[in-house]
Amino acid sequence: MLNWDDVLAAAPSLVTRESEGELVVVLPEQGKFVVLNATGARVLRLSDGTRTLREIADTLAVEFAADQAQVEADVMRFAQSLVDRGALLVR
Amino acid sequence: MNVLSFDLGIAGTALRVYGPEAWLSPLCSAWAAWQPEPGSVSWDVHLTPDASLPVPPAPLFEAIPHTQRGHCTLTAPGFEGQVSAATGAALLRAHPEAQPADVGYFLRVVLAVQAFARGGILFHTAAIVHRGQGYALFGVSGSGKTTAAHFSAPDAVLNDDLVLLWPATAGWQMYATPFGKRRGDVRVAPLRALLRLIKAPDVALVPLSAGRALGELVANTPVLSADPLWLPEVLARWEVLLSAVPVYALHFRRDATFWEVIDAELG
Repeated sequence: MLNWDDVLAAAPSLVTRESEGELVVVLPEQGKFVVLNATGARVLRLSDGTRTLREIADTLAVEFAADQAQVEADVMRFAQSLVDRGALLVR
Repeated sequence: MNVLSFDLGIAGTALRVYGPEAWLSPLCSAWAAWQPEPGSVSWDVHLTPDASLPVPPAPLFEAIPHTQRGHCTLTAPGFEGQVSAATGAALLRAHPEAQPADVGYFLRVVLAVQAFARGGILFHTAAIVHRGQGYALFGVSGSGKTTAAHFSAPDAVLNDDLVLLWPATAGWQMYATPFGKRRGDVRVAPLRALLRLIKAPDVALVPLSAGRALGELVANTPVLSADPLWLPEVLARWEVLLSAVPVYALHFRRDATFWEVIDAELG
């Protein structure tokens, strides 16, 4: 399980491509892919190896002017799913 | 040891294969009709028996190609294969007990690399020719490619597993390959649509988002999608193709009614 102090980074082998408002994320070692909407793509981009999960949630709450508690719940669930798929790594 | 050579070509691809008679003779016969176009420049593929390798415990088909920086390796107990797009050459060393089917699989991998280097894409799909138009019915293993091909009779099946997509003056062409099951003698058809198979109780043709389509297509691109350095080019190639060919999710059940929906929407 992720913690709020975890620092996240995209897996080095990830290959991404934007296509009509979506971000296609391909995991070449697994032969799998994930398609992210704009919010998901922002989470992935903020996961640059310098920010904690809490900092990412805080940034998104400000950028989307959204309810902090709801953003935290969404970010935690989403980040965990990307970690489970191997798209994000915990530093 | 008698060494044979034979040529294999589909669309703009061309391989000249050298190897021992025991491996090549069955392939020469089976693939005699698959000749390169006149003037095509061939890649040389050398197949070398090597008794110092272990006896293969499993077919080469179970090995997963690894690619890095345009160089592809296909290694398993009893096999050591290399394909270089940079030099346009390939070599497979294999234990003498390797089978022609192992060689055939290696040639598929070489063809995938060469096809991409020359502008095409080898694609995992059941390829049906319906009313003169080519339809690529694709999806992960178990999605129903073979079933869909079965329920498409008497339409021609270019191949039920692998075809070669090649750019044409207008749109893209879908070429048959000798690597799977076929029905009929048709070798090529204009690619009308890409259809991602989804088993469902009700038949429907549903547009796929651009991102989803791109991901699905890359996931069904053999060999190349495993290389992080090739992947951006693979994605770009599929984007070019998608600018010319529509893609849908095809919800289908175990009968031929999906063709009625396809005809109504795309025919």
